[in-house]
Amino acid sequence: MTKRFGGVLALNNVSFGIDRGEIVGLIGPNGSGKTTLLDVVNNFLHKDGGKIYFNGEDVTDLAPHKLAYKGVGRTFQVSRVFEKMTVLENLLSVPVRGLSSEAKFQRVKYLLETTGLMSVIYEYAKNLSGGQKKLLELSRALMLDPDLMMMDEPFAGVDPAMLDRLIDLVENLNKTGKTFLIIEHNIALVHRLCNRVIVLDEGEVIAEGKPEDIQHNARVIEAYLG
Amino acid sequence: MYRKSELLPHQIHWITIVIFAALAIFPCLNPGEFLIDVIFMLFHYAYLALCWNLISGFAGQFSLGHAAYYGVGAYTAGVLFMRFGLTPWLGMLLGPMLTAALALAIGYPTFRLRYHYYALASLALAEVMRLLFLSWDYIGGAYGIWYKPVLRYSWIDFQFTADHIVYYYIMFAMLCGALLLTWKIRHSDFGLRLMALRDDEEAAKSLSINTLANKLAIATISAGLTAMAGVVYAQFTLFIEPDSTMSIWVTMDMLLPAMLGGLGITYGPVIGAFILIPISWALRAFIGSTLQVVIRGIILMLIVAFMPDGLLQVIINRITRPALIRR
Repeated sequence: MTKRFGGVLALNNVSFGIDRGEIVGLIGPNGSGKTTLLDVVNNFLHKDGGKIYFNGEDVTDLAPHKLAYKGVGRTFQVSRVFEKMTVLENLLSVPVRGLSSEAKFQRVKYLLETTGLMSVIYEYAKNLSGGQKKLLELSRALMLDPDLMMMDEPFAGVDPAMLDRLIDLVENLNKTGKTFLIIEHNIALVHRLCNRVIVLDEGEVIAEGKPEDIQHNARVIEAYLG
Repeated sequence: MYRKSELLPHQIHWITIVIFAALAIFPCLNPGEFLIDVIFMLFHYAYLALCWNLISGFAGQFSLGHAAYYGVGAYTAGVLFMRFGLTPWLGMLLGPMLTAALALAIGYPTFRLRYHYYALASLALAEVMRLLFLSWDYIGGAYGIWYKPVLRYSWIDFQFTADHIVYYYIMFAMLCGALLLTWKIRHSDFGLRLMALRDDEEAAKSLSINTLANKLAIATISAGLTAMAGVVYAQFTLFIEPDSTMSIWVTMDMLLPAMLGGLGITYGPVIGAFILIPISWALRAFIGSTLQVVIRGIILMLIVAFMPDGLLQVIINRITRPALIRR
């Protein structure tokens, strides 16, 4: 995948694969292209070269809403909940096809109970705490039951109690077969959660492997420490 | 399935029903033609504000050119009747079809863009239409269309000069219909998708919401309903011309009540119209048209600065309690 912003090469032939059931961490210094990569995969940004395959299908030029329907979920670096809607409405706004009203409601109920948001079901999303917004955004993305969840710094700014809840949720979902690509700066969390880590620096993949191998990689250390 | 409402206290629904019931029987009290006409116009502006709110309040696509649809509706009825001798009721079908096509024509390229290109395009559309109609002699140009009153009371010709109560009830029915439609949309999956794309379009796309299709759908509904009000206006005044049907001030008469009452709230535009329109008339009568425009501009600035979510949202925030609706 290649992406340019004028003269700036944000992504330079970034290429990797994710197997079903993996939790892959995507790390790198600020400005290395992590969020840009997700935006390009989602087709929020036009790409300047490259192909994307999902479940064996070429989805390179698929519109964002169609990609989501195919099974790619996304959360954002800064929580993007629907602020003028209540928690319940945020979840109900997701068009889940092939589910009866009752089944959809059961899914909503399950997600709200799992994330502990049932107590604020009628609260406007703008009134939630930062951690609650993260949980709401994740719950909302999970309404579509995606095969692949791309999460952009999901644990940033979350208090310890919420953090444990989020991590437990990710781990439990992974056990059911869900695949995760997580952008994260917290190396301890990456160690705890991820099977494999990809390191970006200045738009290029500079290392890829198990977390314990990556942390001793000279190029990775140089990228972070300069 | 439990569905959240607008957190309105139940009393507001009952108050609305009582008020509308009173308005329904009001003409039976022989209030006189002047009051009938006044309330007809209140219904008219409340209806227009509701139509505008569908695209701008629920979907967040700020339309500055809704007057174009209003004018096309009015002229459709006028041209059908005066040029072709056809019943203006056809305008209630043809006007919405034409405006739906217009809405699709400007929506399709502009809804795909970011920022407020739709607002600019809609403003341009209304102004282009106004200038076009001003110079189009076939439909009257700057002189407009003067209806030839056929009979004092005729359903086929959509003229009821002998009894304005008919206009009153037609507009009342349209207002009730628009209010019900707004309420249905607000409490539907379609309405939730519209509000989602209003609040954050990219996030909505990431949830498989086809934002373009939803925007186009509500744009055509809003445009079509607005055109119908234009038809009724033409039949009520029996005179139409481009400046009174397609100018920016016509759009402002839809926009201001909706913003005052509350964008994206079912009752907001109606409450806004019932407050603002009488104030506008009073201002025009006591301080003149020019100063009245200035005052309305100040009102708009005050709304944006101190009450951006509208009056009804302020009330909701102060006295809200959960309202559970079982579907």
